[in-house]
Amino acid sequence: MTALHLEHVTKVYRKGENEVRALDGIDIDIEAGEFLAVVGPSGSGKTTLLNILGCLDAPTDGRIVYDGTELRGLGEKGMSAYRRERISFVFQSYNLIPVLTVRENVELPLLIERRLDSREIRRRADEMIAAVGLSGKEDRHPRELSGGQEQRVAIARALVKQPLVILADEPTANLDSRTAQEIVDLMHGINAARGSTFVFSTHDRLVMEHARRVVTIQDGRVTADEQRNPPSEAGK
Amino acid sequence: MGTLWKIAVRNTLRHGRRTIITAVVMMVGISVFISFDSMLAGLDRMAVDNIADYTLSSLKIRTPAYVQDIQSTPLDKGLAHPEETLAAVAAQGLPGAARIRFVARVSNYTDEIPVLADAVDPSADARVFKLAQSVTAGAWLSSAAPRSVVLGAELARELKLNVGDAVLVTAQTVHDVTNADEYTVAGLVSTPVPEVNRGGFFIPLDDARVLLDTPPGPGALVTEVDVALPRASSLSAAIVQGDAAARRLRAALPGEQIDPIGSLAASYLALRNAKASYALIPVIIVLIISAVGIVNTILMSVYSRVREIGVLRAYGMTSRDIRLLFTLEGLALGLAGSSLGVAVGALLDSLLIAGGIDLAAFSQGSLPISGILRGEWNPRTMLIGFIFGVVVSLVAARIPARRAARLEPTEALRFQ
Repeated sequence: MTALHLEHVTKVYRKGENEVRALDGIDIDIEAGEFLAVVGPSGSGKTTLLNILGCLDAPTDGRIVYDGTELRGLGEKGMSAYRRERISFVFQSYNLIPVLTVRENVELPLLIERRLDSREIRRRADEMIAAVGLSGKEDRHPRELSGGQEQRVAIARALVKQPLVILADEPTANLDSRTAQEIVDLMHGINAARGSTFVFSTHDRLVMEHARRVVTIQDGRVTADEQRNPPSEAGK
Repeated sequence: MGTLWKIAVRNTLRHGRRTIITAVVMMVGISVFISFDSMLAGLDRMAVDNIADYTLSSLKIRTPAYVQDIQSTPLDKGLAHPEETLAAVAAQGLPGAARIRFVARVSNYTDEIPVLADAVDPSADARVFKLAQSVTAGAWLSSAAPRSVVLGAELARELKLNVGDAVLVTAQTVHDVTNADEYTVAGLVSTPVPEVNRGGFFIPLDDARVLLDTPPGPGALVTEVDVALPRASSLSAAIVQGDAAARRLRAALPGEQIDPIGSLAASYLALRNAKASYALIPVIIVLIISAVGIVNTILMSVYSRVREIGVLRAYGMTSRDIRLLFTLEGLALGLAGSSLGVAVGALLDSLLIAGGIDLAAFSQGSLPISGILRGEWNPRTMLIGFIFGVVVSLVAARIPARRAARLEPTEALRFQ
């Protein structure tokens, strides 16, 4: 099933007389359950693509169909509502809310969504905290955690509302290689176990190695789109 | 809303130092406002009580013609039937005292000072005024000691007079002829009203009538009847009570001019209000400073949390939610500052009420406010101060809250 369908998506930034084509006619289909890495040099348009996939920014031209629904001309409220329900993010610097505990950070998307009662919100949050291996640390604050633990909380936060897609912008860039490996393994495991769709923008070879599909972008265009058999699945 | 409130309150607590500084500035503004108002209410109360107790009484009955010509203290415009007037006052269950006001010159045979003299019924006057209790040397007037007078302590000092000394008093009679007579100083009064101390001169009615050459007996000259009213719980209650008593007496004494304390002390209250509004300027400045502090504190909060705003937007919060979040931080600051302000204001109030401030140092002025100034409880002012602090915070928070709400999520997430 196609989770995201992008058709000739273009993003043009204008600064005075200058025009920058950050994305120049992107066509991609992302299937549900994919573990996809978007790679490319700095300034190639990876982050712009993730922003557009995440409804944080609107394309200048082209079509995007999310889970069979085309979102066009949505205002700020409509985009916010879509993000609230269907999209999650994992950031390079984790971006946990420092004043909230681990559990409260994980509960946050559900609290913003305002769909479930507090008991169910807590149950799901605790379940996700357990899934990322942080049981017992529910009442800690982000400052009491290591970088790897913070990123685990960020992953739990991203997964708790069962989104259509999880967009991860350089999720391992701030981690040492051992922790990065653990985080990639964790996301890979969740992807395999729950069928959650992950789209990464990354420079990290480790993430690329684990990705089942690697889309290369250069100057706002897709220059390669390869299916892979990641080492963890090789021989299965 | 619950989540936003939780984040807002925790952020307010997290940045403890700047929260404390902002809240303390607010606290100072609000507590000064509250205690200042308490002192002003105390001053009003004190001044009006002193006016009632030592100079004008709580309610005055005179003829309209007398009041119209009051500058010349006319002796020919006294009350037509003073006994009936006093009876009408007594019928209301109120103490009343007859007086004659006249211009006199008091001399120690060397120097002479003009005074506004009050001829009083010694025993009735003591039930209306507190002069008899303010005698610091000698004794109050008594029918048992005729040809005696009581002087304000300052006046006596000025004339180098002491209890037992002879004093020469000169006045115009009702026939406009100058008359003079010698009296003995029976006592000296020292009151919280500087005007009485400097120019108070009290003489028994019977002696004054002889001096003024007006016949004694029924219908004898009385220029005013002064009435005391029970002590009210506050200044406004005293004014309401005075107005009600005046209405009742007007019904019983049609044709007489009846002025309650609200009208008698009008000039003092007008003067006080003018001074009070100037004195409130520093309080307003402190509150403006605290508003600037709130704008600054929340702006700092916005700038230190740009990425957090980006995350909240990414997870679906609208710009309205973000605006609400920072408005709630302003509200939290406002509630903290206002609560502290009211608490400290109440503490200062209780100190002012229990201990008071000795105004001896300020008694040189013309306002009847010497003695111990005690504050008054002012729950209405506390409520106004609290609401004002919260409203100022909410208004001040609007500026940074709008700035935070205008941040695009992509920009906010990129922010380093």
